[in-house]
Amino acid sequence: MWIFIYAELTEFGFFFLAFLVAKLYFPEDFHAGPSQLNTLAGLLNTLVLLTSSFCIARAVEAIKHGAQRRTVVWLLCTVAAGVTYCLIKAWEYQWNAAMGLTSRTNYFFTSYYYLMFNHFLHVVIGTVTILATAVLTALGHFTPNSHEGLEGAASYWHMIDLVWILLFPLVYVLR
Amino acid sequence: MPKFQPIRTTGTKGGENLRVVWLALVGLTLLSVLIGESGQPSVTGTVFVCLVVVLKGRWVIREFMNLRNAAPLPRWIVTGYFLVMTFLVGGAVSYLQLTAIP
Repeated sequence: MWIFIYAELTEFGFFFLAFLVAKLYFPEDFHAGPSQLNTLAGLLNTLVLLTSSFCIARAVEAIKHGAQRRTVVWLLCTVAAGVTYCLIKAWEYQWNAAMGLTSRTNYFFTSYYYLMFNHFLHVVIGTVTILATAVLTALGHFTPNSHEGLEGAASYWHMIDLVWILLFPLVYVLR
Repeated sequence: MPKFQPIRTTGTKGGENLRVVWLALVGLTLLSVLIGESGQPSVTGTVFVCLVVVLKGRWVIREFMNLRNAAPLPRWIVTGYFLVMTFLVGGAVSYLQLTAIP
């Protein structure tokens, strides 16, 4: 699992570098870009992802104590957070479209849509994984002594949150 | 498939610790947005936002991912990645702010 997480981090590392190189080449587009974005949507998604990380950390703690039902509840809270993230993203994209902002507006928006869509895909994959983990937990697949699968899924979800912690200021805040 | 008996535990010390970290992360997020969005972009603001990012990443890695008690190698790979990336972001943005024509 850790090799997979390192590979994902490396992929996002290249995306960050590409974004920074584009920012150095087209400083005007990247200076004006963040102020055109819906910062509220970005902020809400940051809070949602931080909360989801908290929920899945509680799920891991619960399974270690053998609290099967509580583990399932925390995992489903994480899934709900993942779905909320997707809904906020959909609202943000609609808001952008209403403002006439598309991936072809300028270099900033091309980079923005590329980065955001990649992160969005990871959230969808993570949400489906956590949902499957919740089902397996409800079926008694994980025990206090054997829950590597759950911890692996949790680490993947935390990786998604970590990437967003850096992505949010890079795209929405810093100009 | 082996079944295990659920143990009822509420309000554990670990859970309390996680709640404090989560509240601190939310507070730092709101503070960094407030600083980042208020006034003209500045190197001081950028450095502050980057420091907040490093602190948030450190807490997620140590407390939520629970890598605090893990072997040094995975902990340092993830922490090092986060530090290097934040440094690159802060460096690039600060450079552009310093060289921007008013």
